[in-house]
Amino acid sequence: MKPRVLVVTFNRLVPADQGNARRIMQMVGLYRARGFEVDLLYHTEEGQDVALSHALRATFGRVMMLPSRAPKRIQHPGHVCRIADWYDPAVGRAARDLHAQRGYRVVHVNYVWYAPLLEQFGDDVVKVLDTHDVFALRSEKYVRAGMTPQWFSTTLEDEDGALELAHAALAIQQEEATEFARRGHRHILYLPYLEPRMRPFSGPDGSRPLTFGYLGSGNDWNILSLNAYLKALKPLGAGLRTPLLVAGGITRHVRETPGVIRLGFVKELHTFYDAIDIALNPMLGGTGLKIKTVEPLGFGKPVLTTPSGAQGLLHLWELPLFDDAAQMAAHVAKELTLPFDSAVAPLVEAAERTRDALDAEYARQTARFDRWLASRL
Amino acid sequence: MNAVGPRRPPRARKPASAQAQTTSAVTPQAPPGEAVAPVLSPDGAAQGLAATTPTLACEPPPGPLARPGEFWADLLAAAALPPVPDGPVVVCTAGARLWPLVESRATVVAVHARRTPWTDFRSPFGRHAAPRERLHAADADAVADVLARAALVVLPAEPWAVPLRDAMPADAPVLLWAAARSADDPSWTAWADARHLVRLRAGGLRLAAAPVVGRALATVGVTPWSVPDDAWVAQVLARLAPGAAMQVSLGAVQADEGAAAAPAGLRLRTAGVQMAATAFEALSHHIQVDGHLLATPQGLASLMLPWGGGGTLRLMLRDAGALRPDDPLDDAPVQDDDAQADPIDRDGPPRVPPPPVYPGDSLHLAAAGGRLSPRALLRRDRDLWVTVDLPAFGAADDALLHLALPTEAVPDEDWVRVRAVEIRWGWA
Repeated sequence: MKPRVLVVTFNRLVPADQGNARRIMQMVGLYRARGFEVDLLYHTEEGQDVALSHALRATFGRVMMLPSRAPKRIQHPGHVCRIADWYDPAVGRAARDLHAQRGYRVVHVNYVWYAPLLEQFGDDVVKVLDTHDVFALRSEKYVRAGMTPQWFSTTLEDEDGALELAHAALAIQQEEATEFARRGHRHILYLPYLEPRMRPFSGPDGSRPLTFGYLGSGNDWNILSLNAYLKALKPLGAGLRTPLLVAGGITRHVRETPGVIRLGFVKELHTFYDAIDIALNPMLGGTGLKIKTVEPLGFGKPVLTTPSGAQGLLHLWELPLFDDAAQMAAHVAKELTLPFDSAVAPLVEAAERTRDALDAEYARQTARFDRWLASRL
Repeated sequence: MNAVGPRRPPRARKPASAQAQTTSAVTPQAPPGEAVAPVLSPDGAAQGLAATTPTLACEPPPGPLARPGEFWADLLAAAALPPVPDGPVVVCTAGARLWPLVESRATVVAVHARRTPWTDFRSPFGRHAAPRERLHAADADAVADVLARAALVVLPAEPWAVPLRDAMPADAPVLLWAAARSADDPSWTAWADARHLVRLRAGGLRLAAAPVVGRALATVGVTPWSVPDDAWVAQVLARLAPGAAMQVSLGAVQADEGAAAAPAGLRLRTAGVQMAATAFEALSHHIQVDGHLLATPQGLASLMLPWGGGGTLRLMLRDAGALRPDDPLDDAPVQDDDAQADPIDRDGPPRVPPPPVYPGDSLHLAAAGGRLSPRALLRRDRDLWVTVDLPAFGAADDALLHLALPTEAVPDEDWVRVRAVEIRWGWA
C-alpha cells in the first residue's frame, strides 16, 4: 500500500490559477512522484462547487471539505494577526479524524497559521509546514511602500513558535530560508518553485511587432507596479510600436492605454505566452516568491524585472535587472524597438541560462528534501 | 428480542373532516384544530435532539430489530472503547450499514464483503458532511493497514471474514461475535482458542474478545458470568448519548391509552445527514456542502440504515413543496394502521375511504429489493413527515432505503432537506 500524505490548505487548487495554489500542486506532484497517495483537507475559503468537488476527487485519494470559522482578528494599530486568532480548531479535529481513518505518514500544512494543526499528530507522522512567505512583520513592508497592510502579518514570536511545531519548514526562497535560519531555526528546507518546461527558448520570428506581456493577479503590489511602469512608459511613446498584453486579475485595474491590450483571464497559460515575446514584471516590492517571474521561463520567454521581482532568484539570475519601473520603461522604449533581433537574442540566451540554473537548483533542493523525507520515514 | 409491544386496539374511524381533530386530541400540547405536533420537533432536530421531549402520540408499535446481533455487537464495542481510542474502530459487516453506537465513540472504518457503489455520510463536526470510510475486504493492503492501526476490530464469525481474521496482527484488539444459536465453526473456535480470547455471552451473542478488550468489557460489567439486562443497556446508552450525533436510547416508545405499562423499545434519533447516502456525484457534493440529507430536484434520496433494518422509521422532509389549497395532504394529515384496519366510521354515516395522500403512486419507498408502503404521512406547514416500517436486510445487503418524492413535493429546481430521522424498534 502506498504511504499517505495529508495536505491541508485553504486554497482552491483546481484550476491552480494562483501562485500559492500552483506551489501546493507542485508539492502534491512531488509527493505523488515519490509514491505517496495524497489526501486533501480543504478549508473552503476559496469557494466550493460541483466542478471543484469533482476535480478534487479525481486528483486526490480522499477529500474532506470544511468551512472556515476562524475569527481572523486583526489588531490595530500595527496590523497584527495572532496565529491563535487565525487558526480554526475544527480543522485540527478534522485532520485527526482523517488520520484515524487513513493513517498518514506525512502531514503537510500550508501557511504558518495552520501550524497548530500539527499538534494533532504524534512524532510518528512527519510534519511539514510550507511557509510560502515570511509573515512576521510583513505589514511593515506595505507601510514602507506607502500602502495599507493587507492579509496576514504576525509577530516574530508567533511565527517562530509556529515554525517549531513542524519537523521541517519549507521556504520557497533562499532569502527566506536564510532569514528563518538567522532567527535560530535549524529545520528549514529551501525548496524553490519551478514548473516543467512547456516550450523551448526561441526568439521572435518577426511576424509581429515585438510584444510584451504581463500576467498577474489584481493584488495591490501588482497594481502599483504595473501602473508605475505604464506611467513611465507613456511619455516615451513606445507603446504603440511594442504592444503590451495584460492578462489575469490585474486587467481590471489597468486603464485603457494606447498599446495596452487587456485580455482578462486566460484559460491556458501557453496561449498567453505564445502571444508574447518578452514578459515584464516591474515589481516595486511585495512579499513571497514572484511566480510571474519564474513562469515565463517555462514557456521559453525572457523576463525583464527588478530586484524585487527576482527576489529569491538573484543568485541564479542572468537576465538584466532594472532598478525600478521607470528604468525598465526607458530600456523598453529605447533598446527594444524595431529592428530587434540584436537586442532580443541576448535576452533569450540569458533566459535559457537562467532557466538551466533554476533547473539545477531545483534538482539539488528536491534531492535534499527527498533525503530528509527518507530519513524521517 | 423479537417480541413487539402490545398493539393498540383498532379505533373507530372518524369522518375525514374530523381527522385533524383526532390527531390533535392525542397530543395534549396541540390546541384543537391545529396540526399534530410531530414526534421530532424541528427545533430538536436542529439542536441535535438533546432537549426533545418525546411525544408519544399516534405512534404505531415499533417493529423489532431485524438483526439484533449487530445491535449488541455495536453496543458492546462502544462500551469496550477507552475514552480516547488510539486508532480507528474497524467494523466488519458483509453489507454496508450504520453502527451508530461505536461511531459515537470513535472514528470508524468499515470493511465489507463486497464493494458498495454507495457513498454515505456523517457529520462529525456538526458542519460539513464527510463520506464514511468503507473498504472492500479484497483491498488487502488497505485492510491490513487499518487492521494494524485499529483500536478495536469488531469481527463477525462468518466465512467471508476469514481472510480478515487471518490478516490481523497476533495482538489485535478483536471482538469476535456470532449469533448464539449458530453452530460453532471449528475454524473460528480454534482461532479464538489459539489467541486466548475471552469467551462471553451477551444479548444472545457468543463473543470472544482479545484479553485487552475482555478487560475493558469487564470494567463496564460484562464478564463471562454476567447477563447484561435492560438496565445495563440503558445505562450504557445513556453514557454514549451526550453529544453523540446519533442518539440511541432505551425506554418507553409508546404509551397506549389505558395501557398499564408502556412497552420498552429502542429509539434512534439523528439529523438526516448522518444517514445520507447517494451514488450520484453531484448529490454527494451538495450533501457535503449543505450538511443535510438531500433529495434531488427530481425528488430522489437514499438513507443508510443501522443494524440491518427492522423497526419503524420516521423522517421529516423540510420544505417539501409549497402548500397549495388543493394539497391532498391537508385533508389527510395521518394515515396509519387504523385507517387500513377500520376504514369505516361505524358510528357515523357511511363514508368514502380517504383519498391517497398523494395522487396515484407518486411517493415511492423501496428497500431490500421491494417497495414499501408508508405507514403514515403528515404535513405540517411546509414540512412532510413520512413513517414507514423497515424491512430486514440480508447480512450481505447494503442497508439502504430509497425515497422518490412526488414532483408536487419538490420545490422548483431546489433540493429537499431531510432534517430529522427517528427509528424505533420493539424490545423484549
